[in-house]
This record gives sequence, C-alpha cells and structure tokens, in this order.
Amino acid sequence: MIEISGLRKTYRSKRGSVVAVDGVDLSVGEGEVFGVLGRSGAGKSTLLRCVNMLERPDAGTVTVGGLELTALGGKQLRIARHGIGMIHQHFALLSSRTVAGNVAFALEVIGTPRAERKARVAELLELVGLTDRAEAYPAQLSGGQKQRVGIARALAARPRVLLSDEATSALDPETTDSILRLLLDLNRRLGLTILLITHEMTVVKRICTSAAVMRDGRFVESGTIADLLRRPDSELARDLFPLDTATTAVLGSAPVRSGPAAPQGATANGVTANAATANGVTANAAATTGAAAVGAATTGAATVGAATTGPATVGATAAGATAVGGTSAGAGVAVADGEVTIVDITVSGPAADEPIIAELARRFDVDVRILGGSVETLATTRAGRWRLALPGRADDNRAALEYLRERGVTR
Amino acid sequence: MTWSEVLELLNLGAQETGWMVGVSALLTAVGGLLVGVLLVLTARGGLLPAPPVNAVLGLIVNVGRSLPFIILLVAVIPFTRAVVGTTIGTDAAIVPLTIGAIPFFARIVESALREVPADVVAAATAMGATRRQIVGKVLLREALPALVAGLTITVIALVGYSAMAGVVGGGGLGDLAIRYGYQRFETEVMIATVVALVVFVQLVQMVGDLLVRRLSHR
Repeated sequence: MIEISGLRKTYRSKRGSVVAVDGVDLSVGEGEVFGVLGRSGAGKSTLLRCVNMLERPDAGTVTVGGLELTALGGKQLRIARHGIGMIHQHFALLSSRTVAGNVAFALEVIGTPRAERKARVAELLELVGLTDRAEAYPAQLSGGQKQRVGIARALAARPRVLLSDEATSALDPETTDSILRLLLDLNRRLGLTILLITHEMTVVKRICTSAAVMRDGRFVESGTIADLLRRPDSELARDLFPLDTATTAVLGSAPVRSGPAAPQGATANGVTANAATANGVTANAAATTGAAAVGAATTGAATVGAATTGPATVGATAAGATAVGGTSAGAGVAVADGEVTIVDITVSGPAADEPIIAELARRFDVDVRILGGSVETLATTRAGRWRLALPGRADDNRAALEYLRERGVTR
Repeated sequence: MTWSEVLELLNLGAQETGWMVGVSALLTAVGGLLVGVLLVLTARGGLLPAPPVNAVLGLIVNVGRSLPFIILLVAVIPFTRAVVGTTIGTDAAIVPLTIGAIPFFARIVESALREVPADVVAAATAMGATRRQIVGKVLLREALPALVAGLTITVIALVGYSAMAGVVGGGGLGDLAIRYGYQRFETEVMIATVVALVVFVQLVQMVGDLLVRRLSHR
C-alpha cells in the first residue's frame, strides 16, 4: 500500500545542512499497522511528511496505493492526497469551527455536495463516538475528543491509508489507550492501512503489526513485530522488555549487602554486570507464530538464530559474572560458589504461554532465579522476555542451555 | 461661545470624523487584507513563495509606514485630485487616510495570519485543499478574531490621523480641537472635543472587543 525507496531529505540552512532522512526503504502492506519508533530528531516526522508530500524528498520515491506521489504535482497531487488521511499530534483542528464544522471542512475540500455533507458528518461522528459533541468547539473538548475529531476528519474522504504523526503523544495514558483502540478498530473494520510515527513503545505494543526503529535518519531495524522480537540484537525487544535495570539491581546491590563495598562500588559493579549481560546468551522466540498453533510450538520449530554468542561465550558470561563481582568477588548473586550463568530468554507467539521456566527447573533440577522480565500482550502476538540466573558456570548448565536453545527461546 | 454653539460644532465635527474614518477604515480593511495576504503567501516557505515580490511589497509597505502622515497628506495631493477630483474637503482627506492606514493594517494582517498554527495549514494541505480554500477557510477564518482586533487598532489610529485632515480642509473633531481649542484659546471647546474623541475611541474599542469575543472560540 505504501512503498518508499531510497528516501532522502536534507534541510539546508545558513549554518549547514541536516540530513533528516538518510536513505529509508519502507513497505507497508494493505491492512498493516506500521509503527516507526524513534526519539525526537530521529527524522521520523520528516519521513511521515514525505509520504504525503508535505515535504518534498530530495531523492527516492514514494508510492501510495500504486500512485507514485513523488512524480505528481499540482492538482493531481491534491486529488491523490484525498486518499491519504492524516492525524496530528496537536490535532490541528480549526478553532473557529464546531466539531461538525471541522469534519464538514474535510468534505468541502473534496467537493462533497452541501446536501450530502450533513449525513456524512453524522456518520463520521458516529464512527468515532462523538455524536453528542457535534456542536461543541474544539476548545471545549478534551484531548482525546479532539483527536477523535481529527480521526473523523481524516476519514472523511474514505482514505485507504492513514498517517499518524505522534497522534497520542499529547494524551494521557488512558486516553492514549482509547485512541489506540479506535485506530485498531478502524484498521480492522475498514481495512485501513496505518503508518504511524511515535516515540512511545506503548503505541507499537498495542496496535502495530510491523515496526521500524529509526535513528539519525535511518532505520536501525525493521520488520514484523514477531520477527524483530526474535532477533538477538533487537532494539525493539530491548526497549519493550528493559531487563538491564533489573539485573543491575540484583547484581549491583549484592556487594552492598556483602558489606565493605561502598555504594559507589555497587554502581561500578552494576555497570560491569551490564557488560556481562551484553555478552549473555540471548534467548530466542519459539517463533511458531500464527496458524502453526500451540502444538507446533511444543515441538519447538525453533529458529535458533545465528548466535552472536556461542556456547563458548556462555562460559565467558559465567566467568564474566564472576568478574562482575570484580573487587568484591562473586558479585553477591546468592549462589554458594558465587558463579552464575545469565540467560536471556525471549518468547513470542504461543510459546509465550508455555511453562518454559518451570519445565527447565523440573527437568534439570536447577534453581532458576528470575532476575527480571515480563510478558506483554501485543497487537498480533504475546511475547515475554526474562533474564534468568542459573547457578554455576555455563559448563555446568550445558544441558539446560541446550534445552532452551532447542526450544528456540535462546540462541 | 455658547454651549449650543459648541454642541453644534461638535456634532458637525463628529459627523465629519465618522465619515472620514468610516470610509477609510472600510477601504483600509479591503486593501490591508489584500496586501497582508499577499505578504504571507509570497513569503519564503509560504503557499505561493515569491521572495522578490515579497521583498518589493515589504519595501513599499515599510515606506508607507515610515512617512509621517502629515507629509503623506501633502505628497499624495496629485493622486487625490485624480481620484476624488478635488484636493480639499472631507472626501479628499479619505484618500491619504486610506493610503496611510493600508500598510499599517497590512502588517497587522500579516502577523495575524502567521499566528495560525502551521500544523492547521499543513492539515488542510494534507487533505488536498486548494490554496484558495486554505486562504479563505483556514487562514482568514482562523485569524478572524485577530483581524477584527487589528482593525479596531487601525480605526483608532485613523481617528488620530484624521485630526490632521484639517490641513486639507477635511474638518472633523481633531481639526476642531486645533482651530478652536489651540489656535483660539477656547479651552472649553478643546476639552469638549477631547471628551468627544475619548468617547468615540472608547466606543470603537468596545465594539471591537465585543466582536472579538463573539468570534473567538479558542
């Protein structure tokens, strides 16, 4: 539905030029909800504005619904824009018009005859649940209601694509939730393709089927949510399930407990612990998403990914954990010999609901400790990620690690 | 001078001021809107970018703004004769008043239109609105309260300018204050005129404020 290739946009000023979008390729299929996640200044807003030519890209092509917008201008572009709805962070409503008037404006733009406008406005307001506020002015509405008006207006021309520019960033969590539910509902009921940009993980989590992480004008990673979670170096997974702090807390606090080490030492340990973590075995999802269903999941179907860290590294991790303690040896993980193997496991799809940790403990008789982790219900799948500590070196845990790898939750 | 004579003078002066200010305000509103919209449209990054046009227009506006009104009044006499057929009287004063006020109001229009949030304009563009729709239904409509407030300021400035209309025999309250109050030392007339002017300005401001309140839904 949306095809972008080689998109580039540079802003020039007297002080020099800033590359806002630096060669982005993107493909959003019909009915997909694609989220571009990034911090402010990453270029995601420029990217979005290039999709409907609010900004003219310097290079690359943008095709929406089979129409190459980069090749259009003037009237053709205006007509093409009718098929692309857009919602904005600060709603961008006409303050001088009522709710109904704002929606009517969109109809005036596309040339809907006066006689038909009223009925269509009512229909659109019904769609977003604002029928009773039709005669209110935007200033009298809450943020969530304003965004509903924005959505109704964006849908006036029956577009097949909706661009969302940080649509929930100015809203509180509850309102964000209701707007996201509305978007998801529209996506499902109308088959609306949505391309959204956001800096909020929640948005990606709740409604996106695919996502990209953008930094410095480029996509750092991009793919379906399930695929992204399965990658060992996935930033998305790391952002979605922040484990580092959990480990830091456990490992870092230990020396304090053990006595002599100063709080500063504890911090230092924490940092080192993270380094060890980085080396840690990154577990991987069972990957039996979708139709393959639960049964298949049990059999594994594992995509034991190209491990960035082999078994050897596992050993190193264990050693690392010891080294973590560094000065105050053993790093306070409450294991007799002070050595642990840290394993991150990530599951998505049906595997997320399986008792993997319990099975691990039972089968290998290991006292698994969970250092951190969580399970999330995503738009298309359920996923979980945990950081586990197994007592002993990696060598001691070879069988358990092998099991996890076989299950496809670790690499 | 008796009070009834003073009242008669005031009545006449008020009518002349009302006429001069009223007609020139109307013409200024139209001319200022036109120039103001052009300034915004042709600006860099505007809807119809044309930096050279913008620069020339800006220069003309600035020249108009920097000329002292009394000089302008005299300088446009040939033009006034061409338009009105005479260079003296109330109608003749309307020409320099309008020419003097258009640049003033144009800048007010320009800044009022700039106050319309960029994302509202972007939203209309993204919907596929034409330039005409954006100017008429978004820029001017959204800026309407600010435009009315700006016009109120302009009308009051015109009341001030109109005091100088006496130079070309335009009459009006300000002229009354100069001729009777200042030149003939009729302090009562001076005070009465000033009071009348204060009331006039007050009324204009009140009506302006009322309209702005009615129009604004922010």
